[in-house]
Amino acid sequence: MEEQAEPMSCHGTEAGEKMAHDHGPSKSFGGTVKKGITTINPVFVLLLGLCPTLAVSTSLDNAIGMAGATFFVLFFSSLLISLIRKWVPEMVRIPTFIVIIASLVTIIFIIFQAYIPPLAKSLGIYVPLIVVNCIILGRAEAFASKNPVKLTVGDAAGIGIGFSGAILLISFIRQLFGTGAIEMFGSKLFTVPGLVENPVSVFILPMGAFLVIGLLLALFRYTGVMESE
Amino acid sequence: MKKIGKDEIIPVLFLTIVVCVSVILLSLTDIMTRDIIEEQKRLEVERTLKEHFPDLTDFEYDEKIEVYSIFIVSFLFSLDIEYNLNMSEGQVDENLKAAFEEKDSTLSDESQLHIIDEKSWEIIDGSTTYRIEDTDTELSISEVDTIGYAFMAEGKGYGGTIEILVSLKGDKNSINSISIINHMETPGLGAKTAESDFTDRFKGVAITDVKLSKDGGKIDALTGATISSTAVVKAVREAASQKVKLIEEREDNR
Repeated sequence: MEEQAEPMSCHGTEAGEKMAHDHGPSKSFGGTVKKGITTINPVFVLLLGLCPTLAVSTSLDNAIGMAGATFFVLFFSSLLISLIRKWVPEMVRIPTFIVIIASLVTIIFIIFQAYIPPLAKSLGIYVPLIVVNCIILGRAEAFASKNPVKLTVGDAAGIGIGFSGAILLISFIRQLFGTGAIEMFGSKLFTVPGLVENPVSVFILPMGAFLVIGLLLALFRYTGVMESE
Repeated sequence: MKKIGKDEIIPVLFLTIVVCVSVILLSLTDIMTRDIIEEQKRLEVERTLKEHFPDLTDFEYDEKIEVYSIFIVSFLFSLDIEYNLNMSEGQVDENLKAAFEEKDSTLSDESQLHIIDEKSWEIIDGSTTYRIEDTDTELSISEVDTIGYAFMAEGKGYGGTIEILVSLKGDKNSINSISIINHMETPGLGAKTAESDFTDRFKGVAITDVKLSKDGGKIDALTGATISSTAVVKAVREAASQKVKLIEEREDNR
């Protein structure tokens, strides 16, 4: 497994902060959770973590694995960072967060390798992508480092669910049109006759990912389900 | 020069502590799981080898040439330990030859005895290999048939390295089977080369014929996955030719 040093291009901290400012942090746990799912959905509103989302949403299996791992890392890194937020010196804020996040991801991956090898195998290529997923660092910076543990846990849960929902939805559409069949863990759930023989392969390719995300974004904003920033 | 005071030192100290804690946790995780992960990898190789050779009873890994030899070990007969046998490297002891004769097995004059460890020996008589095990109550003699060989091959696919387990038939001329162990190909397209629809195309094909049909060989590429197909074919053919040479060299040196 190779860790590649990706240039940090998270705009998420600004977007995340702006959102928190505009909508005001919810004071209740439930409100915070709900916000993460719709009002500030990380993929469709904050536009964070698009890189791993685009890359991994080619099949439901991959999406499930990625969503689970990201949720886990997001949850525990936010928790940890919120716990130590009062002691982190300003100057080393970002490096500290990165060390915590990268360590968490590596530990989870090693544990997967030992106890759930099949999952580790399918996630293996995406592990570097989880480390640089802007959602995790973005929320650490914008929320976890500035809010008490209870609210942070709610935010992480909401954002995590929001991300999972987004990536599952995108994968479902891409897999359906791109292969004509929906498969999960090896078994075909259902196939669309006509589409199976002539799938629209572009959906599986990167340009298809952009297409799907763009169209979903437009749909959500047009119907007002998710407001634009 | 600016004075280095508390404001400069504390952040450095803090980050250093954070990194130390992280390193400790990572090392702990590694220590706890290293053996389990090694075991998992070994089990996976074993499982895949059993898929390639359902009849196998044993296999051996040669670390020098990185090749697995696959055996069917069939029990022949056992001898009483009382036999006064000289089990040293080289020519087979006359008493041992006689013992074999008594059980209707003939050892030719060219047979060579090899010591594997203090309780196992091997007799190589031309193309037949016998294994002798000292079980403390008797000597167990089995015939060892090499039914194939297996090794890893690597190819440059569309998305990264493709790791393939290749197995050859005992005659070292044709492919027994292949399995894609690891790859980064595009799901739905290149990734389909890992499925049996594609890997089955290699079964029974002579090593020299492991080429794409368009290049005069016997393997049809997968539609929409030419790069992945080419990578797999190239990796298999090159690894197979190379390993066959190494195996034959090893046999010559015996």
